[in-house]
Amino acid sequence: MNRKPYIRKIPTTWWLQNGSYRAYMLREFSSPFIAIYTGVLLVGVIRLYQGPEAYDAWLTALQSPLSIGFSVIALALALCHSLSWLKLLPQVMPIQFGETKVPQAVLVGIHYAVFITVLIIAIVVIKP
Amino acid sequence: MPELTIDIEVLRYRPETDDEPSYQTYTVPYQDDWSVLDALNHIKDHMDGSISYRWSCHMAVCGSCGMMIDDVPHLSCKTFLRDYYPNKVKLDPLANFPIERDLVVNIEGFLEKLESVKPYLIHAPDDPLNETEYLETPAELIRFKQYTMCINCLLCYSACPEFALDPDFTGPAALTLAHRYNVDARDQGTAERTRIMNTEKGVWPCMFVGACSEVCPKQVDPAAAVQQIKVASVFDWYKSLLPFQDGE
Amino acid sequence: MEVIKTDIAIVGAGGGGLRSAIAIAEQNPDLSIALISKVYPMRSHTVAAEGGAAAVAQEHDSIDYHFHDTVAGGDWLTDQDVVQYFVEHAHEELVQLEHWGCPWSRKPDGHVNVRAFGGMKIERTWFAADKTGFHILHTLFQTSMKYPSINRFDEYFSVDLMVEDGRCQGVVAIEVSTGIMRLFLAKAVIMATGGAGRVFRFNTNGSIVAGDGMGMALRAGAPLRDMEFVQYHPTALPGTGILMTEACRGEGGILTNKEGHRYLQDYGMGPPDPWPRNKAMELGPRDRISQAFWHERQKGNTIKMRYGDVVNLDLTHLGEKHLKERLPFICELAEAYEGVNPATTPIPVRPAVHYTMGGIKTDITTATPLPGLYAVGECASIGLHGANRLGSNSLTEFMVFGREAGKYASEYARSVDISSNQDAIEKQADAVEQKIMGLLKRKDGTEKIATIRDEMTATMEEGAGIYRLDETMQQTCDKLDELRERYKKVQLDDDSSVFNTELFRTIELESMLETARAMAHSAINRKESRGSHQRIDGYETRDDENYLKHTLASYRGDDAPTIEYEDVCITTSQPAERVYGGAAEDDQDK
Ligand SMILES: Cc1cc2nc3c(=O)[nH]c(=O)nc-3n(C[C@H](O)[C@H](O)[C@H](O)COP(=O)(O)OP(=O)(O)OC[C@H]3O[C@@H](n4cnc5c(N)ncnc54)[C@H](O)[C@@H]3O)c2cc1C
Ligand code: FES
Repeated sequence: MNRKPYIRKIPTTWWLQNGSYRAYMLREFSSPFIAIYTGVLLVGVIRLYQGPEAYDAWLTALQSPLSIGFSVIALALALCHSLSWLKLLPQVMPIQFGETKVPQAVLVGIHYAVFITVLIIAIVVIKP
Repeated sequence: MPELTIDIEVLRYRPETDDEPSYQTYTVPYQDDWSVLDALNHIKDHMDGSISYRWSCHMAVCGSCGMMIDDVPHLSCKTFLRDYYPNKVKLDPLANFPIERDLVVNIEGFLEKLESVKPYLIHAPDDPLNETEYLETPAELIRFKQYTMCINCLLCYSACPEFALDPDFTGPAALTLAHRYNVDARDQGTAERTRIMNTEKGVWPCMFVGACSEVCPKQVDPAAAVQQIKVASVFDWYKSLLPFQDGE
Repeated sequence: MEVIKTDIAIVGAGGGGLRSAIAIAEQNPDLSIALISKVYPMRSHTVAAEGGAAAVAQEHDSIDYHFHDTVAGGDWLTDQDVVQYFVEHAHEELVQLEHWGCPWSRKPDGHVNVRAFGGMKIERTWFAADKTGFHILHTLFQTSMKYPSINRFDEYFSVDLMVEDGRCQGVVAIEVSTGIMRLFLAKAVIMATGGAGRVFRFNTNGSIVAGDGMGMALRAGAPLRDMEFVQYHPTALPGTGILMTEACRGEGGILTNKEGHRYLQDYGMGPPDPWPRNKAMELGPRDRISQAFWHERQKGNTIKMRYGDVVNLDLTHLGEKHLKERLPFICELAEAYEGVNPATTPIPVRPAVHYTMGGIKTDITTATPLPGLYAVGECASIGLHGANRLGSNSLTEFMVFGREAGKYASEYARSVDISSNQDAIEKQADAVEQKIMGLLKRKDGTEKIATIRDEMTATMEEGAGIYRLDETMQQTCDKLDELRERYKKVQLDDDSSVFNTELFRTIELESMLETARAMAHSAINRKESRGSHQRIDGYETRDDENYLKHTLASYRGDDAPTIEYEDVCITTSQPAERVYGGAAEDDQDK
């Protein structure tokens, strides 16, 4: 056989090659942070169940510089994660009325609107 | 006026003599309406007849001429020198495929994958064919039309990191063509195809990076098709948990 | 040499090859099929067809009208029994495609939509937006994957046919990825290798459309018929030759010269209604419209651009929305290759060689005079197109006659045994291999294939273009003889065996030279003007008395091809004047 296919190696840094790979990696990278933060919230619920003292201790712990630092990072990553999903969503669930497909930009716009509304409601209603 | 020129750097690989590929640079005349393919044809006709690449239609529809142009997958017949000039243009064979020779890659695997997803209309055996055409409204046509536009150029495979890591992954184009038949109202083969696509090398390895859709020269949006298959599979799975199934 | 035995070998996996393969697999699943193609099937040039496929679909249309349009469009050089069979079976074949999933464009009520096309009295061109060939090819290709008896040999380049005991018994092909040659021993062979438009300088064809099959058939002793009839499509982009489909005009596009004047009215194709009138003005037949361009250029009415003279194809009045829906590919192509948005700016266009009406002579069953060899699609001359093909008849042609080729090749394959004289065939195959090795290993060659090819395409344009003169045709014949000699000294840069594309371009060039020669000699011998063959050297009119005949060109090695004539089959339509424009309606209402 004179054929000798050459298989190129994939560099370990493949995920740095272009924007969509980096965005994807960021989305994946954000997951553990979001998971940990969910854990933290879960602990809060358990603490609440255990009584006011336990809950206060939990709240105090949240105010440590370390915890604030983590929350800020987690918030930023959660935002990234959510926004990247909003961008992808219309691909997952295309909507068609009669002969017209709703343009992806419109669907993304609607999602943003809902996202921001929920955010505002959350901030206004759940205000301490 | 001296003739303007542009450098084309081509990855060469001749399996009979080379152990590994290396770059060779050709200086060709620069014309603002030349595509990268025109430059390659100039090289082949007038400078070096031994350079190998695929092409045919020169109108972005046969899907032969895909390659990495400055590390991004493109159709070389529809990518123009003017978008690179005065910088050099670097040409590599489509990423993630074995190199057969120079800019030619082995795409056999794709053909097998395409065949494996049953890319044709499936009718139930007891469903007689109409005398005349099946009615299909423009609205029904539009639902799957976009997915019929795939020219099998395989740029999407070159952009797909999952395929890079696992050459057995069915991959964007083949999955999209399966989806094309699933959403066609005339087809009755969804269950069969879903079974195939629900396997380990089917839709699930897709991590929804979305790079395939970005490089698609025909706006087919394979990433969308693959996610829609996933959603449909999940619904199917839930449905299969329900008691009192009728039929399949 | 490795031998692969098969019942039927099909060379070519474009529309014609795939349709034949499916026909065999459906009707005769026990017959083994080797489907050989030098490119992956979906790269075949059928993929480039834009406009649509013809079949009567409307109440007020009739197969008689389709028959008459085709016969008159071909300037009565069509075989009317073939046309009759064709128009009768066109509809069922396009419905067949629908049943296989072809995404035809639809009317709001769900029925398949049809559009107007040049030379057709009533709208009957089925279309899938402006990518009809693409959709048909992919539908056929994907459907073909259903049948286990179709064994594909993708990227196998056929070199020559094997003839033994006076019948065709196989074909030799090179596996492109290894350079290894294989002998396909078959009971019947179907040729479906497409056209030969690449022998001309300006053309709408892909690089693979090089007349390979015509060359192979010639060398094997099968004659080519009506090769002088080469269609110029009036609207191609000037630099690249990319086609701007006739559907542009079917949808209402107009052609204007440098003064903005719709010049076709000056050539007997008026009246210039503001709306599209079938068989008039821009919806006239291709030969007439391309000829009008030539006259406009003579008069200095064309526009000078970088790649020569052009006229304007104006779609601006159709509106962006309509264009995006009906002609999206045209918009994409004009934008990318010409930098023009058709919704706001007219597209510069010029005529370019598009289609070879002639080809390997077959009868109505697709059988060639060489037993065991069948031919279908653009490489064949079954007698459907005569002196000028009507746009949208050829996609339907390979559907209707592809099925026939499958049927008759199967019957033939069942009637014969695989050769008892395999040794003799293998010897022939070895000789072919020696020839190829000779090309590869030659060290003292002096000619480059690109040079010979460029000189060939230039001389064909010069001598066998839209209008023809005895003197220039003779120069072309002489030039081709010279190029044929020079071809014997061609030197390759590449002597390797894996994916040696230079080798394949070289073998193609040999077939192109033979095909070009058949065209030029057929042309110079036809001393009349008919359809796409127009002379301006004293033979300006049609001469039914002497030339209501098919031309047959046969191979004689280094000597010029012999030219003979045979009768045309006329059943119901006697030759008459071809009338277009307003007069056409009066004519057909009679
Ligand atoms: C730009 C364009 C637009 C067109 N639009 C229309 C239209 O709107 N309507 C219409 O009716 N017609 C149209 N036509 C014409 C029509 O598309 C062709 O006539 C038809 O598709 C030919 O099909 P085919 O199967 O004969 O050949 P092709 O599709 O060209 O296939 C030829 C096959 O033969 C194979 N082959 C060739 N040589 C070899 C070899 N040496 N070894 C192995 N395999 C070989 C190739 O690989 C290929 O698979 C158009 C043509 C062009 C160029
Ligand atoms: S050559 Fe056909 S897609 Fe580029």
